[in-house]
Amino acid sequence: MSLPNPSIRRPDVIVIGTGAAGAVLAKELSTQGLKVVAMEMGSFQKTRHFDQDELMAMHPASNNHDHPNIYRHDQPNTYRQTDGDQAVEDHGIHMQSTVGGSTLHYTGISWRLHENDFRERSLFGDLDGADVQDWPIDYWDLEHYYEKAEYEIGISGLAGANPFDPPRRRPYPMPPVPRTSSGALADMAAQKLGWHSYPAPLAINSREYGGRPPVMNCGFCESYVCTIGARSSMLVTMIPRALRTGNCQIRADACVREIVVDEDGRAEGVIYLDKDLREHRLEARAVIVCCNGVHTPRLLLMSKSNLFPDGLANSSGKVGKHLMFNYYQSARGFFEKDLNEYKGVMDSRIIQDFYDPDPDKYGFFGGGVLEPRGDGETISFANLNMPRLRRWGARRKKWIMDNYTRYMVALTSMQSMSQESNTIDLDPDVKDKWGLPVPRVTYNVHPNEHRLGDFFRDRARELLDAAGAHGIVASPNFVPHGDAHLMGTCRMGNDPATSVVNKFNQAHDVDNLFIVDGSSFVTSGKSNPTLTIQALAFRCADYIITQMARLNIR
Amino acid sequence: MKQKPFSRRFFLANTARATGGVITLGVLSRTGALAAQETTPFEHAWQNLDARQGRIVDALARMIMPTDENGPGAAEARVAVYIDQALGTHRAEYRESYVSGLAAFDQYCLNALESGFLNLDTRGRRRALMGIDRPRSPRTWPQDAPMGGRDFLRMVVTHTMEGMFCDPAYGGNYRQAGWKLIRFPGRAPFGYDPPFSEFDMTIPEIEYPEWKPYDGPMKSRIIGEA
Repeated sequence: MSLPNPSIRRPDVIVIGTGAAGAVLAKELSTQGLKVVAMEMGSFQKTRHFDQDELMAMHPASNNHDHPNIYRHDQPNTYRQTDGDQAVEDHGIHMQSTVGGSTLHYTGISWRLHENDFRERSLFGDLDGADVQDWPIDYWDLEHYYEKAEYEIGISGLAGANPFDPPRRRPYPMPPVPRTSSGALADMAAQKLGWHSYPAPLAINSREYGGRPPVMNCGFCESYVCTIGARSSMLVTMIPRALRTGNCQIRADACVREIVVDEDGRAEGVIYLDKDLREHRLEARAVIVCCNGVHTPRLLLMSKSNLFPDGLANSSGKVGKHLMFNYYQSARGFFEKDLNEYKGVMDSRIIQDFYDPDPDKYGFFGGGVLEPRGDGETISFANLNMPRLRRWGARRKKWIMDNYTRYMVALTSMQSMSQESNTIDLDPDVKDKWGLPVPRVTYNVHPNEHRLGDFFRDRARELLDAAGAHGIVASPNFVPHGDAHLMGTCRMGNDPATSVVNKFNQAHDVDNLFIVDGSSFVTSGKSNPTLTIQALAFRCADYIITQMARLNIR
Repeated sequence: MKQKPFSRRFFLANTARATGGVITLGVLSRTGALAAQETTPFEHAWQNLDARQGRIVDALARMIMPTDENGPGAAEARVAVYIDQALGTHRAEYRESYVSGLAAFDQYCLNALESGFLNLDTRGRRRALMGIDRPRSPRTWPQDAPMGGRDFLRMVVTHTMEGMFCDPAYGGNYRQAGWKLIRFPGRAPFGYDPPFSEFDMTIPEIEYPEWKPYDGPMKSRIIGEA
């Protein structure tokens, strides 16, 4: 099936980025009759261009990031721990830059934030050294849009199974996908421990939905692009629906280097570079930035002008500040019998019993979740660093043979503290292939993260132990250089002096500029931000349409 | 789904065919370790390594994933072919490290064991690897080498595992020797049906309460609706 991709020369709206938020906005706005051009710095691939190839997916060459089968088209970045350090080149920021973005390869876990996530400052108070704030919206501002995202995109799950879930008006559109071996063991362990294991809500079809087939449990799941389109990625859901309206053009291999403003300080359009580094200019009535929590602030900071000498929409000075990931810890356990985790989805069960424990009782702020899982990666497994086992020789070989089908991982994912000193800015020295400054990550953990890490590492061990695992190996505390969950760098708020966008994802400084992605998050949640990003995008689309109708946006 | 157990007879016959009869397999010693091989076990025109470098890489890979009573190793998976080819494509950035690292490694063997690596027997080769598999390079490791002993070893180990378990299209994992060893079926274009193991088959599903629509006040705010 070939879809139209019309050439639109005078769009109403330019959307920059075609991932979780950009694709939703392109689809919603084009469906309402607005002319949309969606820009993507990477290429436009079809699902058939991707392959079940661990070497290219997981261990790509650092000089070969344009290979379509690589999930981590890591755009280069640099990293330093504190702002006194010299930043060095790093590959910690994980993102896929092809049309559809990282939804092409993500695990697909799609839960709603809880009511408490939006008001942690009010509930739990301040935390020394952190900048925890309430969101300017609450759960009920997003409830309808969560539901819309679940149905329009296609989420499988079991309503009512998680006693900690926030209220919802409708069940999931599809039942859960088949339980994996690690999911079954998690069920058993959770029941022993008095915890509540429930089927992971996943952006993966469990039955035919949206003209796409159900999961086939092939095991090439997270980090791989689904070759049959069972994962509800943007490439097979929102993008084709946007194109089918005839009102949307995807302009791929187009790297926006600046958002330009007119003399009144309103966004006029963009300047972008094509594959051959030729410069183009495109104008529109509104510009929406959906480039993720790292590349959105980078683009704004590159868009300097007389009116915005410190970067576009940055009168508050908060663009690029408050960078958050989701801190994580894990333990790996081994079993006497086969699990065969090379079959099935990555993660079929979740445990939220420690989602927001009382700080006074537990001695740390915030909480986290357990996401027991397995994978079928052979090369990574063979190269695993194991205590008291050399990387080579007959014993290593025997260990690989005996254990490849017999392990699971208790991943725990938790909150990162919002800190103003964790930032994205422009690296003064290093340039990317377009000749533009790469994003510089400055990131250090808050001591609270290590307290959380200690607590959740113990829970991971406990889960594996209750499941009957032996030889449990846990990860040490660490300082992340990056992550796939990129949040906080254009935070949402009511006060233009302390936030970048208002509660409708509209820039405080520029009324026809919208910023929708993880960067608007005020707090990080415990993990898996994508469904919330998508809900924010559906909501922002409604807002833009009402504003356009009222001519508030010319 | 039962996998056929590894058959040494099949393996021997298969390897002889695969190698075009160029060399014989090493003789199993009493300890089960394969005696050191001198010759390249398959016809391969080296592309990115010279013949001597290729033979050292091959010999190193065989120490890392030895052929033994548990089944085939780097020799049968043609790991050296994988590494040689990869150094011209997706691992091209490591070519210089191999050239300088292999020279340093051979010099180290001369310094520490008074013999080039290829002239050592299996026990000697094992000692050579043990000697650099430590946090600090030994004094016999050439001081002017661009990388330390363990870094060199780790690099070869990493690429050996790639050559063992990559898609056979990349030249390694020949005839899926690596995948068969660990009972991984490889690509799964048609996927699998549950149950996936005894665990998901026998552990009962949790019975969850039936979902009822939220009966509290629904306060959902929808933009554009009053």
